[in-house]
Amino acid sequence: MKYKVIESLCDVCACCASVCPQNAIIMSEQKATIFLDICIGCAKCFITCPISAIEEIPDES
Amino acid sequence: MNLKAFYDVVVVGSGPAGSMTALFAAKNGASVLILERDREVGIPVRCAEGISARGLEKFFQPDERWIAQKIDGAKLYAPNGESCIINAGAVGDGYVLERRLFDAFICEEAAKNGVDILTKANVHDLVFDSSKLSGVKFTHLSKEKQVKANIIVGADGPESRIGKLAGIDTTLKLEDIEPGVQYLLTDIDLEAELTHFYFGNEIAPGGYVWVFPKGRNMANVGIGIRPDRSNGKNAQQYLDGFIEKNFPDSKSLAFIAGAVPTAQTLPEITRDNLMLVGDAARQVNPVTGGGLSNILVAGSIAGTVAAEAVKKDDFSNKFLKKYHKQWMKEKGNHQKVHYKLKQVFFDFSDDELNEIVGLLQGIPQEKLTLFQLFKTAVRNKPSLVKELIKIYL
Repeated sequence: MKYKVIESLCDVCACCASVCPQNAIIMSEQKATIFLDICIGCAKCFITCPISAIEEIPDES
Repeated sequence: MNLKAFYDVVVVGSGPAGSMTALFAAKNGASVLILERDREVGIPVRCAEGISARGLEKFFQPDERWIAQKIDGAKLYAPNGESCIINAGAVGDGYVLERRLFDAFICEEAAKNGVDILTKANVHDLVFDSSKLSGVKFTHLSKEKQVKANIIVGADGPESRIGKLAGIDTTLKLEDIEPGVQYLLTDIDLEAELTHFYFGNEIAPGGYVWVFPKGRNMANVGIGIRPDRSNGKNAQQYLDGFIEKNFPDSKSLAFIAGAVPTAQTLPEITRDNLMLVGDAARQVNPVTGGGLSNILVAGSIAGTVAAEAVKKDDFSNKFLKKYHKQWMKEKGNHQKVHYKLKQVFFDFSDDELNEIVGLLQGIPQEKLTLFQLFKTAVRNKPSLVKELIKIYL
């Protein structure tokens, strides 16, 4: 399971980027972006986001 | 504004860590540029805005332009709603600031001392000249630019991209971050000269709710929680529940999310040509998550050492480590103690918290000091004694 940022909700607080063990999350002035090719799906960003602006990407079956 | 192609010091981030570093480096003779990602210094404010009078007045005379409220004590609320007041005599008095204006004020002071400041400048990479760190690459108004410097200062917040790019592991463990949110509420009816702290595992697991009055019935009402104890609810849901119960008629003027690193200082905050300061270096008090007074100290040391490095033309890690050593001496070693206390304090059950506040209520207010608070906590939780002994031995 990988994760993505719901851009319309993101408040750019950087909680997600602070806990990402892969350094897979980059902050810009407007939003966080998760780079999926390095995301290992550890879910730390998902449980840390204070406003639930990160969601699961359903696995392709 | 014409920027130079080279500065002695380039600071990434214009929060108080970055601007204090810049101010002290410039005051001591260095040429300094601050690069800020946002469009304006001072915003957005991701902070409860409280600072002790002692911490502030060490560097600046209080100025009514950026002071919202004078504070002369703290009120602690147990999970069962019982409360006790800790006097300023015990904790010292303090201020709730207008951080937006305070941050701008420090940047202004830096600018008066010759510091250049560029906003809307998003640093995305470091420049190396054969393995030596020698500058940063940034995007400014859709244009790719770079600037060279002998010292790069990462004052770029808890995720510290600068630290990561330099190869320092800045990733926070889940037990060492408090994701938080905060409303600016109006129509809050509470003692305005006190800061208010609400504890409880249902209220704010692994953290607390704060109410910091800003005058005219307004207050910063915020929460920090431990993400690994949040039971599937986010910080905003916990805070919304609290406000619904305690301030149902209040109205929100602002809402913001933020990250508080409640960790100890990173083992490495300097490298050749590099310094990390502020949240990037993990310099807040890990119990309270409060950091402003610590960060003012850290920035002043970092800036002073950076300017010394310029005078000596020595930008080696060995020289820049003077900043790390001085920081540990002034604040970092206390922070270790606070980290231990954090681990114990936030393990209290609701019953234990109720009991502690109940015991504190029995102590006459004039005798209620921070020492009494800890003594009461220790009596209530014998294991804390062991922890305290470990800390002080």
